[in-house]
Amino acid sequence: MTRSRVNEFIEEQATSGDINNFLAKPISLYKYILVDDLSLKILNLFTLAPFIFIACIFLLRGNSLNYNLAVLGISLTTTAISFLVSFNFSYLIGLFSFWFDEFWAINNVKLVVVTFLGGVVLPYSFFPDWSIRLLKYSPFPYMLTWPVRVLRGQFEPLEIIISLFWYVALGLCIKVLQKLAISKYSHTAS
Amino acid sequence: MFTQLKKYSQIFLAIQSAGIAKDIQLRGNFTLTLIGSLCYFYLHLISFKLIISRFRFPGWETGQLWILLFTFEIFTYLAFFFFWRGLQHTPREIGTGTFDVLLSKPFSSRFMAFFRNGSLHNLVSAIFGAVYLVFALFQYQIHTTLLGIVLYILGLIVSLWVFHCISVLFVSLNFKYGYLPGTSGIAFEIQEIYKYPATIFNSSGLLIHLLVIPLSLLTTIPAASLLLKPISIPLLATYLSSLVVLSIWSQHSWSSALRHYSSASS
Repeated sequence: MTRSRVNEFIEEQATSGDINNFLAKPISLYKYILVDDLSLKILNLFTLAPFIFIACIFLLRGNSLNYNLAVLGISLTTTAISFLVSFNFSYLIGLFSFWFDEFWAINNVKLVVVTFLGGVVLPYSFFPDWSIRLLKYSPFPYMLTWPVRVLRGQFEPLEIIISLFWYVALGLCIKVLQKLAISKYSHTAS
Repeated sequence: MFTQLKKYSQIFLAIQSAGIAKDIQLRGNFTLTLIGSLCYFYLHLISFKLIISRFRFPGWETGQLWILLFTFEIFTYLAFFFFWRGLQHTPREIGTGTFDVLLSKPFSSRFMAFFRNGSLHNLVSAIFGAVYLVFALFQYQIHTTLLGIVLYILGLIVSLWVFHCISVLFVSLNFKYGYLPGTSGIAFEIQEIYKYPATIFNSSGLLIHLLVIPLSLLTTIPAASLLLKPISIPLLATYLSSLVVLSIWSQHSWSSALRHYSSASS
């Protein structure tokens, strides 16, 4: 639900020249891709619904943590913010495809950085303390595994502010980089 | 037999030289792709370091585990170098009918389909792995012999062949069921299995014995050979029998799959 791979979509569009459709029409590329990705997540939600239901039964029956509507509500909120931060980061990386031919290499770097620093490859308990303290202020903990950590009772209100800061900061970077990317863009079909 | 081997070796070298020459000419692209490749190389290194700092693997000391990891890196990047382009292109060509071009050539279709020009960045990453391996041998003062090195290289070649056979089995499905893009990378997707010693999978489950252990042996056997580590008879038998079974099965699968192929021009 939180992972975004729109960078691959942007690369496909830029390489094939299909992105011309968006540049020629009064449609915001960012909004179009956001809605497209969001619809995919909703579809994912339907596919995952039975598994989420089973997980909820286990979580609510378990005695290890006090799961209540507040925790579930925060988890849903963090899922939404995680998706947005993830989307913005992915979109920003995708814009580099306007400059590089071998975009898969950049995609590789992104995948490694996001999955490793995001706590997907290994949970944060494996990381040294100093790196956890440092990572807390980076966007990576708020991209993929954040809702899971919330469900496990590892939540601080400050995290909401940090994640929203990164959402806005990445959004501003997109605005600047997209302007540069489109001014550089040329295609035989254009 | 010898003439055939010589002929195919010459073709192979010509294809690889052409690929490497092209990669060297496009230096900017090469640098970028090398960064992308090394990124995963170091991800494996760092995550492995974090894992072995927390867990113990019975029968394997720290230095030996590093040898296994660098064997994994060498094996993975060589597999990418030798097979990745073929694995990417063959399913697409089968789907579009351009596979005819390969069939019309006077060489083995399997060879032409799977052994295409590799990317230089994968070869460089494999060399990186070899340098680290030698460094680890010295750092941990691990004793090995010439026989160990010969067996190591032989083990790597056999493991790469087994890996190729597994890939052929999956790619053959494209002939029968149409374009299946997922079949290209399936053997790479399960690489975490052969990152750790085969001896840790000591479950009695049938699935573990039939799927996980044979795959984990792809790197465990070469690493154990270099380390002059005794290998149990059942594990060695599993390795050799998977080599025989997969060689025969993949050849049969490829031949019968070719009969299903109907090209765009036919």
